[in-house]
Amino acid sequence: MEAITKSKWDRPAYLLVIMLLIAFSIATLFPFLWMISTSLRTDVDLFKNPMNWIPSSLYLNNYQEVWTAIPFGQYFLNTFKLTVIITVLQVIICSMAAYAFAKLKVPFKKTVFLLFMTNLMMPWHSIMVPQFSVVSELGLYNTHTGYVLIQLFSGFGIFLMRQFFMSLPNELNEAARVDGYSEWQIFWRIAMPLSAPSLSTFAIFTFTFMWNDYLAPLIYLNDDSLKTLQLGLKAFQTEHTMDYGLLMAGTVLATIPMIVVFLLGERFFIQSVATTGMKN
Amino acid sequence: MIRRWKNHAEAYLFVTPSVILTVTLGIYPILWALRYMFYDYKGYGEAKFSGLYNIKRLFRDDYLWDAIGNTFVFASGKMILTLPIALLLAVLLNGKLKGKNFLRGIYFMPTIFSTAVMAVVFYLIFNSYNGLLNQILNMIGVPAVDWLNMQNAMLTCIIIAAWGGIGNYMLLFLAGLQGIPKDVYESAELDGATGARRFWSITVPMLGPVLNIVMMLAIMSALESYEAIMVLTGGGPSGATEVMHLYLYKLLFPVSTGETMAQDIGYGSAVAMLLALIVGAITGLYLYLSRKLNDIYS
Repeated sequence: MEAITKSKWDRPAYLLVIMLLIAFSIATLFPFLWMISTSLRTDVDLFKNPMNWIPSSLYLNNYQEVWTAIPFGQYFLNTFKLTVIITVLQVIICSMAAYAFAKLKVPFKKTVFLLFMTNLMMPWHSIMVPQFSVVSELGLYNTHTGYVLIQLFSGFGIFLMRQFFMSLPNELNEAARVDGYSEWQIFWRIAMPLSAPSLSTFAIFTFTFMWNDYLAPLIYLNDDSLKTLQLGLKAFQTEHTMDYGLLMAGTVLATIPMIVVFLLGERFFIQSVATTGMKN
Repeated sequence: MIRRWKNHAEAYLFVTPSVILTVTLGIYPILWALRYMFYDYKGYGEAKFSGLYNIKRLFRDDYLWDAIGNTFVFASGKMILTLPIALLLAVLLNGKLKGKNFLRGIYFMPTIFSTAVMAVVFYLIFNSYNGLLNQILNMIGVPAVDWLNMQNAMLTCIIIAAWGGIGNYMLLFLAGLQGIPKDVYESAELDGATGARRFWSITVPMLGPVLNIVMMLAIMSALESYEAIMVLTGGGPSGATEVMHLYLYKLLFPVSTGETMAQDIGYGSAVAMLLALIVGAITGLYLYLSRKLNDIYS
């Protein structure tokens, strides 16, 4: 008996798996290492031929200069503020709609769902010009509110959360209704806590996407005091000149919050799966 | 009766914010684009009604059709490379393995960097003059390869896109795998099912709903992504990596891409609607086929 259960981890297969995982890690990490290495060089050092694998001397100036070359601190705060607001609101708004589709009787359900799906299918580029004119009409061009507004709806989020809510047993809702809970209370006190794993997956996606969004801020935000990190980093990367060292140093700094979010989110995501044990 | 009305009222409360957002910022713009595809509008001055001119132009635009062809090559290449690896990693990292959280973190890392910046790093690695990859090849005595020429540029773009996408799909697959109860595997193990057998007869069917979402998402995003290509090759050399949404972007916002194309919102709207139709048709076909398959299996 013991032998059978152990068999999946017999040595050759296990070693193969480990080697595969390590090889893949190296392939994944390599561009980052190169990025960090680039951020520690002067451009002259970068384009030496034959190249130095290790920077000839550690050039830390890029990390200092990036704070003064662009208003890095201001951009950082803007990005952080926008990303957090959008992630929270988008997750709540989409989960609400998804819950209604999965568990409630919505009049014109099919029509509304079709509207959502049409919106989901429509590539953003196809509608960005008219969308921009709607936001301008509302007087929200060049404001954070305008930018937040266009990011709140996510067809993908509704789709993902609906799929999850549908897997929750209906008996749960019925029992809660008998206990006198309103749908609103069931949603907040039962459905949302139970869907923590899916919610955190959804939130991680939204967060990373918003943090790295470049095109929409480019179109909607014009004032320096409103701009985001991705716009700022682009300043090192113009048509004719490219300041590789500063760009890479800025990117490395800009990515630190994302790593924190991922580590926190992932831990939460695993814990909640381990503790609920209620799924299916 | 009152109870029922109250339920409806609550249901409205749940969907109202999304409906308002969809209608004003999604559906209305679509209708706008549907109207302007019949107009001659260059982004300034007056829009003039031009009948079917833009539609006819679609069929004469060989560059557009080449771009659509390239998009299919790019999208299928990206998916063939991304999805199996992502699923394999998810399955391996779902088991009891020391350091699996650490590895998950590593594999997810490409996702948290902006594609545009990573494309710059990849340029430093792949360019033929003094790129890192060619320097490595030189060292081991292999002649340098022009990674960004007519023949190779598309493959290079696909590799980079796959590099950026695997972590994403791995995480989605993992979320799905966590939903499969452990006891199913345990009883299969008692019955003596091998690893491969367990994978095909438990993991894949039980992953069904997640697999469906992931596939749909993968199809759509592969058809729509162009950011890395924009930074790496700009669609070149001579249109070899031009994908359809990059072309659309150049039509609508020519200034920011540094292209010498003239802004054309009327024709851009027509292209936009054609592309939406293509993406919609392919996703629709996929949904239809997957439903058919589900019917067969259940």
